[in-house]
Amino acid sequence: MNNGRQSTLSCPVSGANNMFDLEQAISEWRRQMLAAGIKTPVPLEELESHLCDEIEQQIQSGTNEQHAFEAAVQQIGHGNMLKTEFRKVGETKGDGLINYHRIYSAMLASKQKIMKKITNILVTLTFAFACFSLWIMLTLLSPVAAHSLRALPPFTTFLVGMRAGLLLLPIPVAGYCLYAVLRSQPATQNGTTFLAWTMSALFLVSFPVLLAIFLPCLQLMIQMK
Amino acid sequence: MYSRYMISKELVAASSEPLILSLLSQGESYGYAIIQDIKARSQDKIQWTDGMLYPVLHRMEREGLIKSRWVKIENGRKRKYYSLKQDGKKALAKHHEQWSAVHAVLSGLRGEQYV
Repeated sequence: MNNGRQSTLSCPVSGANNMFDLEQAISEWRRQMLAAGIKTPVPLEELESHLCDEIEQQIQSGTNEQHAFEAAVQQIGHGNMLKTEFRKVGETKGDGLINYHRIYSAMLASKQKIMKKITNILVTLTFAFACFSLWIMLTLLSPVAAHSLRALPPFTTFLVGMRAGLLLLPIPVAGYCLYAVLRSQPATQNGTTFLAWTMSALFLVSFPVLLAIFLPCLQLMIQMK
Repeated sequence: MYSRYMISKELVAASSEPLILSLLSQGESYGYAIIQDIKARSQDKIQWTDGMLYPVLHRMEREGLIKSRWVKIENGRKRKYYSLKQDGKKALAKHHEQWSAVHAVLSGLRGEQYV
């Protein structure tokens, strides 16, 4: 484990023979950062890399190692200030509450997304089941139409003939459902639109089919009178 | 700290994400280079501090807008390079749209003053 005594990155050295020990200074800087609560390896390693870049730039401009180091440290700022900045976005050790809030929010958003996808699948399955049930009802009327002595009402005969369309209706709905499930849409979007459209379509289909089934029954009741 | 020619702290903070996304849309980069690039492009009017940039980069990475990788450079040193993710490209397009809308309104109002 890195305890801050030794730098994990190799900073540039000017090669000048002076009393200032850059490696030692960087190690001390790391120790101060750790003491201020800056975590390692993230973000301390990255800050150290930045420090080295800054020192390198200063040395290339003709500054000696000591002044380059001091300027770079000043540029980066004090550990406490950095900790405050990282805390604002929830990254340091002392920000447990912020992190938990973020994790909880992310989980909640993720849960909402999953629930919305499950709802879309359930709505599609309900729609498909309802269409299939209506198709069965009309299919059961089909042999009656073939063997009955009296002809079925024209509207009923027409719908019995068109009943295959009921099996095609769930296809676009399932297609949209698949699209909604696969795409990464925000959980905040209103998901009731899909439900409203699907249920409206189901109502528009169910009403004529039920009427077509009811008409022969009405005809039979009139005959029995 | 800020001279009268420098952009306000609030605007600097608000523009940090779109500027980072725009820079990274041109290719991967690292913290120090991003700061220097923005400083040069803004002619010193935008001067990001390390304390401001890295928390923003880390937040954007957590949000899935950008990704990072450590690259070994000369002298055995390591640098953390950031690049755009697909969600970052979408966020950038949204930022462009929003900033363009603000710019259009501001330009329109400024134009009216001289009519």
